[in-house]
Amino acid sequence: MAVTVAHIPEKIRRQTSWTATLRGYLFILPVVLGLIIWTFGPMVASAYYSFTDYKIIFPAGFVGAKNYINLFTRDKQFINSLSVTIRYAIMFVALGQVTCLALAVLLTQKVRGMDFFRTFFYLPIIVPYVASSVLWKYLYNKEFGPIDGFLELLGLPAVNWLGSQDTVLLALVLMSVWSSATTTIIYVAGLQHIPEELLDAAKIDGGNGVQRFIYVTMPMLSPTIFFNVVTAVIGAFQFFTPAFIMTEGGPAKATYFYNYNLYEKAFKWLEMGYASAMAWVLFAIILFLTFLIFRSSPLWVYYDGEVR
Amino acid sequence: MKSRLYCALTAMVMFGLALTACSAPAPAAKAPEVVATKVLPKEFRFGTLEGDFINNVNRMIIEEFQAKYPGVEVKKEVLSGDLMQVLSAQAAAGSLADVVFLADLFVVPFAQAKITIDMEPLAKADPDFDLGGVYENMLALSKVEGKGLYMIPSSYDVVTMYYNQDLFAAAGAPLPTAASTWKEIVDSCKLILEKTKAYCIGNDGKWWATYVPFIEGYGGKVLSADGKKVLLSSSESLAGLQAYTDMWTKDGIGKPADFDCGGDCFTVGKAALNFTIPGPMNALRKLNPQPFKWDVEVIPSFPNGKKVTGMGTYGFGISANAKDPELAWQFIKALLSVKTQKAIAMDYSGMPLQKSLRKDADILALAGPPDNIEAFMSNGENGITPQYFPGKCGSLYAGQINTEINDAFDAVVISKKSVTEAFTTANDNIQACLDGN
Repeated sequence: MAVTVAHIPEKIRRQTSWTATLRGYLFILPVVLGLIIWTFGPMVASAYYSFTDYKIIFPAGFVGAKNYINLFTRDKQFINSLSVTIRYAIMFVALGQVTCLALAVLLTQKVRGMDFFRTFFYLPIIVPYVASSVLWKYLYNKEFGPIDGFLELLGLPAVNWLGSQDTVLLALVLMSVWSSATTTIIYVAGLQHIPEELLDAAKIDGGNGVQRFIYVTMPMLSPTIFFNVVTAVIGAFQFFTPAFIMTEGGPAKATYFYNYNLYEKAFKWLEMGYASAMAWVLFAIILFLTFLIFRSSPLWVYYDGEVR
Repeated sequence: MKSRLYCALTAMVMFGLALTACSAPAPAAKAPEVVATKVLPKEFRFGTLEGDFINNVNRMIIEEFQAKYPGVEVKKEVLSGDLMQVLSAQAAAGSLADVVFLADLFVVPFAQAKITIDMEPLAKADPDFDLGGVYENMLALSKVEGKGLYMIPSSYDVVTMYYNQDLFAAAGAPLPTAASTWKEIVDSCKLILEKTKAYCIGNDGKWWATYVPFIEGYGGKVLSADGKKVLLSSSESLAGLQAYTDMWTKDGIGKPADFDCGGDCFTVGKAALNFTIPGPMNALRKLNPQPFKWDVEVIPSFPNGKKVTGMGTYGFGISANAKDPELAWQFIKALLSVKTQKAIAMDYSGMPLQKSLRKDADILALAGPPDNIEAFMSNGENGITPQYFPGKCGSLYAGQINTEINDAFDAVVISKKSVTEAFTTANDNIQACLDGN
């Protein structure tokens, strides 16, 4: 016999509703606790420590805004590391988006074996960053690296990829682009989402391939580009592992990224208070840049169905 | 009603956990008073490293301790990774072992943070222990401003010159002798580079124990005696630093920063010299077959005839966490016994700190290589220990002082700046930090 809600006594109905609510809270409890303990807790702690001279082995003493003031007035490495990071971010975002988009266009062509190619190009993402850093360090090696060996085979001069201040940043950008398979996959999804009829209509109207790409594909893909650019900028400002493993910030501080500087202050100098201040400044920078990109989005991002 | 109660309880639990996560770290534990305990703990924690240079040392002191205290289990905990990070984190968490591995660079900061305890009262109260027979300059590394005893040093670690006899022979260069000068060594190195393409110095030269001797060898100093004035930019210091960096910039006998030897340059035969302490001879001797003939010699002399080299040591200290400091002392003191010190030397793991073993026939008769093992001992007469910097600017090993000096080396060797410009900048930055602290 079917029982409708109307037949359930009010008391039982309230109890059922209450039990469901509690069950819901219990289900989300692990995540909420995780967020509080492992995310918000450290954030609040680091905000507090940024106003102290905390050095791990000594108790923290309140120093007001001294860490922030020193960061902007006395720390020459702050400007240098920020400059390195900004140069890397510009190169990585530009080269990364163009390369990944181009690759995604190729991966959406209707040719045989496309599943294999998509899997193949996704492989770098499953290689841990540490492992790929060690691998690329070997590839770039001046003495026995295969990249220079290949260049020499072509009769080109060997490049001192990681040893020269002129090429080291580019070397890291190239490696990062290689690791950006997720961006490519997102572009592939975005391209597949573009209605075929729009492209067909453009074709009937006489648009060639380039025109269809510029006037149909790009506007329809702009929300995806927007998402990828935002995540790429955030990722670029958090760049650390390859610099730590491949170059140790060198040569002569040419890859002394902001996060590497932060790491050294925190774990080599044990200046936890100062490093916390650096982390909050980095947070502010990323927040500001993300805000700028969001504010600029009405100028270049088109959402399906939007009327302008 | 009940749902509100549960929600409130949940919120309280979350709030409590958040407070726990945000709470300030516990202040460093106070050094426990030295009290002889009658009931011994069942377990004793020993935090140490692993490696050819120390494995036998660990084994010897554990065995000696367990012979006396068979009922106490020694739990060896291997410290891996960056030691400063590991020990600092353990100290902050209050989980340091009873006895921990230390190096001279940790003595002062750890003592000041009360992470390690002063063992001097324990040493004085122990009728079986005498510090009088130990080299004073090495013992000074265990003190804070000349006081206390915060580390039991392990061995007489003097930076001595290892050399690859095959590379010298292949280039037709004379082998180094006790009378060799730096000029003669550099000339030989140029010949080796020309004839064999091997460098002489297989590292980036940023170790204090190799560059500070050049500063002092040319009459300079890193810091004034009162610890207030940085002297890196004095004319004498700059002359020493110029001669030192010339080995990379002018003579080209130092390995370029981007040259990868595929391992330790000396061990793989791509560097003719290696300036290091006695410990590495243990690993080098274990290579079978020996990749090349090698020996050791005292440090070459500077133009004024002076010989200067760096020296320091690792050792062990009693942590403020130690459950029974008296028991920890019984464990740690074995390191300085004549028996252990001799055993360390006989194992090629270091040179003895006890003066009574200076001319020990068994040690001097140890089979080569190195044939000239006595050089490790006689070179000690030329040894200087790392300069202590007051305040919170770091040291020659770590922190801002270390970074500024390393940056200056990079500026000279990689960015081709002048020694005067680079080291005057470093000098001024370090001075600003010292003045600000």
